[in-house]
Amino acid sequence: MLMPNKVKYRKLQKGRTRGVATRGNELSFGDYGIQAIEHGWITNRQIEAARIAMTRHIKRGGRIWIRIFPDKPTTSKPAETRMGSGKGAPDGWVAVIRPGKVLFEMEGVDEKTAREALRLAQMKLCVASEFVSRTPPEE
Amino acid sequence: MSQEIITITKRETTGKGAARAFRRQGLVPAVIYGLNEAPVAITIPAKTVARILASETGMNSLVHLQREGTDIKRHVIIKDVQRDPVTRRLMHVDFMRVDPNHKVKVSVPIVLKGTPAGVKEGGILEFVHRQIEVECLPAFIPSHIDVAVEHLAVGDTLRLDQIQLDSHLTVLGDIHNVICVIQGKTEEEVAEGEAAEVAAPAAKGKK
Repeated sequence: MLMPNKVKYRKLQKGRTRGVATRGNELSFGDYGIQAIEHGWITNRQIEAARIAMTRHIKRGGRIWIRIFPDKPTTSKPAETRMGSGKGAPDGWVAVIRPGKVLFEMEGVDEKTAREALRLAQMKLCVASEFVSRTPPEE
Repeated sequence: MSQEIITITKRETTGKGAARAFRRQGLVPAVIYGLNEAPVAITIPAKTVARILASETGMNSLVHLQREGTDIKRHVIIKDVQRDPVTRRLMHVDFMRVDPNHKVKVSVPIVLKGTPAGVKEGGILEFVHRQIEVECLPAFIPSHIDVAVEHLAVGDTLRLDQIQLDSHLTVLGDIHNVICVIQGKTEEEVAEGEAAEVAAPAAKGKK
């Protein structure tokens, strides 16, 4: 699963996610992709599940790009623990997502296959997203 | 060269409030600059810009603009388009004045024609450079460059110096840049694909 090799601080504060994705909001590598339309955190487990779902669907054709990286550590307290006594232990990694961020890209398959593979990937994510392709949008 | 004349209006107000007001009216804030003249803030109907971008020449269209109420006409090209990251609506357009007798630098998209032989054998076509930078007179700006790729087998690479370009075009940058490459499957990918094929019937069998 994706995670940083080394981090400066083991635990981070939650923070707030405001605004839209001003970078990484266009298809850069593939012909098709999915773009987030809401804020949220995507965990490295979800990214891996989505990647496996896409790879299984496209079988031997095509290529996939993962455009997000889970670089933010999350913590959790053990079950049945009273509140207080400091922050919980590191538990996982998440990617912070803003609306407009392109999450995955795909190339080398026909549009029907790409749509279905990316739909399966969308099912694994906790952030609403939509299918995008290189054809120019209409006004 | 397009002979259609598009009427634009000079914009007196600037800033996000004024820009949003224009967008609510179906107009797009834009700017015209270039040829060592002062930049002019304008507005242009969003539908007109969308029509230009959807035309065959797209971003490389040569546009003839006329300022409303005056005889000022200029040939311009679209230098940059800003869109909303989520809705993809037009936010702002940059037009650059061009002199019909002087060469301009533009990015021209490459269109791959045909299915490569390597892809039919199971390889993957990787499109490395989708656009190339060229220099030419405004009247000769191509909408795209067609590149035949049917002959490419697995492992073959197509470089910029291997394609035939129009004599009016001068390529800028490295002519040895790779346009596309046909990659074979790595052992890991083949194993993953086979695992997926095995997993799929097994899952069906459980039902």
